[in-house]
Amino acid sequence: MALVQIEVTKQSKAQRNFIRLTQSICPECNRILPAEIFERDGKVYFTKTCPEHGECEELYFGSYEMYRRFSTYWTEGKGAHAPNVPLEKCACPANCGLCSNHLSHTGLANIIVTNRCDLTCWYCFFYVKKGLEGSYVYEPTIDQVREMVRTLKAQRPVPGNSLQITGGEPTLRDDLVDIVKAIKEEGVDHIQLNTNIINLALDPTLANRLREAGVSNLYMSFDGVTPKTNPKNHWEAPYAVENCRKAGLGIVLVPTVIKSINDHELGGILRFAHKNIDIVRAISYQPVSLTGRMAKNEREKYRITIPDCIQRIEDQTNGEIPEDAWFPVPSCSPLTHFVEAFTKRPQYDLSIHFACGAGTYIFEDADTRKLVPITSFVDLKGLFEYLEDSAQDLDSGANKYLVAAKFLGKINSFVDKEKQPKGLSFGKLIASALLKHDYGSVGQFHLRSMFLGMMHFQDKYNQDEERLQRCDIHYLTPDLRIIPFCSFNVIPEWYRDRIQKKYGMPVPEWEEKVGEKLEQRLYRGTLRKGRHHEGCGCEKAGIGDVSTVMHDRNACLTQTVHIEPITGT
Amino acid sequence: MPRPKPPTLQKALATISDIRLAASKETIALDETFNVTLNFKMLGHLRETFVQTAWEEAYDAHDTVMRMRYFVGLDKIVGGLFRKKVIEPVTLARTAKFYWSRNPELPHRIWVMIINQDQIPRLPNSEDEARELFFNVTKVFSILGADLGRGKHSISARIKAKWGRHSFIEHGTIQKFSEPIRVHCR
Repeated sequence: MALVQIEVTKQSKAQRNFIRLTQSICPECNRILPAEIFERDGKVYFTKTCPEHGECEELYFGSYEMYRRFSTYWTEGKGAHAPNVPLEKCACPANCGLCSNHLSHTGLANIIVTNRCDLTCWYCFFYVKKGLEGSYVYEPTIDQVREMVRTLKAQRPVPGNSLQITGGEPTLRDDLVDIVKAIKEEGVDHIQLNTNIINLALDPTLANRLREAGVSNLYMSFDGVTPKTNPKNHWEAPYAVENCRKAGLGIVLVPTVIKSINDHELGGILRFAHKNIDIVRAISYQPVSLTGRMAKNEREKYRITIPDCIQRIEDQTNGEIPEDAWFPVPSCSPLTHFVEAFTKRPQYDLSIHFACGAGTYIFEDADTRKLVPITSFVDLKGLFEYLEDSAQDLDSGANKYLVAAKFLGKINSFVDKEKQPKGLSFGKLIASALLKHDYGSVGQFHLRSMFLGMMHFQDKYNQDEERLQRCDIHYLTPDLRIIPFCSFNVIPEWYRDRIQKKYGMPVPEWEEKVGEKLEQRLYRGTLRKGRHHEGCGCEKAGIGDVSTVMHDRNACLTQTVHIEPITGT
Repeated sequence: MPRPKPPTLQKALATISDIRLAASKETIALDETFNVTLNFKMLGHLRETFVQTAWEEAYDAHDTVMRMRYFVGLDKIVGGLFRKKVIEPVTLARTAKFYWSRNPELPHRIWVMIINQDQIPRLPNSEDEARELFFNVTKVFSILGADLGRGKHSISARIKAKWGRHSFIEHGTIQKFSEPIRVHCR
């Protein structure tokens, strides 16, 4: 009998350059393990060995150079001073909720209003599937939503003020507008709606109703610019965008990026956003999180990390958005430190781990209509260092008015006015945002720019406790816990599934209660390829031409609107 | 966040020590470029208090970033008294970030990352290494002979160090000049 030879490690280990040690979990049994982060062939890898299930090696960050640059922006947050779970019962990632070991306050809180969805995307981990054992429909009541929001607002030292309504597909809730109103009444300034926009395309009034109720912007799932890469809403997106435009409801495009599936269209998504820059405020690229059990070769096929996406964006925009335009999310901490030192009050701090997210701002030149990244006319690194030093001076007792005056005199030295896009005064914009430091002035900054963001949620293969401990995207749950995203979704058996079981109801029971089958609300592709419901009564002229007719789910409207379909450019 | 003042408000004891200035050549031509290497260390209370317990104390007060700003330049000494700038002072900023490490091999929860002026992050293995990374400075200046002019010159380094207030140290600024070295430019 031939011996089985395993020859993976010898050569590769010889080329390893150690970076740091951290902790992780075994993807099979969730056992907490030491993990090593190392460099090989210019990329950063992650390895851990479970005594029971063996070694698991995974790509952690696609560029060591970028990893090194990003790591200099490492920052530590203020955490949550009023923990919701007792510390003695915690050992990350067990019993999250938050405890006092958690290092970031809530930057964005998610409330799931339903886990039903009208789509069934193959890569999505978050919708109730009929027929599975233990399938529960989870839909908290408005009173429960209010309690969850109060928990968020009670957080100290920084009360949560930014909330995302998510699902499933939240627009399947008939009382969604009332939910938004309730959240607004509880004092949340920023409300974002995570949606596949099918219902916003089908119902021309919904965007307006949501806007009036208090939704700040949509977080719109949008995976590509061709029907192949974005089958979920390729035909519907132009209608939704048009409806949002009319309602003045801003949009954030959210592509889930999967290697070999849609990573060749990241530039195309940016061009679509640029075309609609009057209403698209941001793009949030999300490298896929590989949930469930997956073989290594399959993971290698789909795995893409933040540097890989950034590189592809540079390639696909012909260098318009270069690699060095991107900064890790915690790089904005010097701004926070400056405002805190200036006001002597704790401020919103995006203190996530540098490997979790990246971003940049782009501006449109009023004359040429070209997109200009902020780094092509602002010395951001110099500005951040200046702000950090000024914050230290303030903390050391410097007069705040003198520091502010010095800052106002200095700000323009970081801006290259020759290269600054026409119609923009960056100095004024940033000075106003920093010195007024309120929601409105920060909002003004965002209205003048488009934000490109990237957020790589973890999975069991690349889960890093240092990242988890700093997570600031949290879930609010009816048991009044605040659970980090990468606990909630990476270990669903401990969090998501338990919550849904405890506060949801089995699918058959739900069907009986509401008198409707779960699959009844599945989207049948009304707008796709110009097909219509039978007997929908559309204008003859519009039938078969998706670019001229707007539909309602149940009864097609006869109003016409000129909507350009998305092209694959 | 406002930081609590350290218990003792006396100025931190810190000195710029072990200053060494060395030229790559003693005699150079006018069209020749030569290097002048400056080494120095920060010693005293500032260095001694930079230990793990202080990092942890600062961390617990949400005081997680410390910056050392070194301003170094070269002067030519004219007439034995007056200083004329040959190289304008440049800023070498080093950042210490106190962070919660999940490294299971570290005996401490809170550790430090040092980022030098070239933006290279380092995770020291010991407190001594951390102090070396943060307080020992080397800077190489390149000078063209013509910038000095023909003749014999005395060159001295101008060093200024500045740091902010933290829970374990009062803020401070100190300045010192190196002993001059002699360079002959033909």
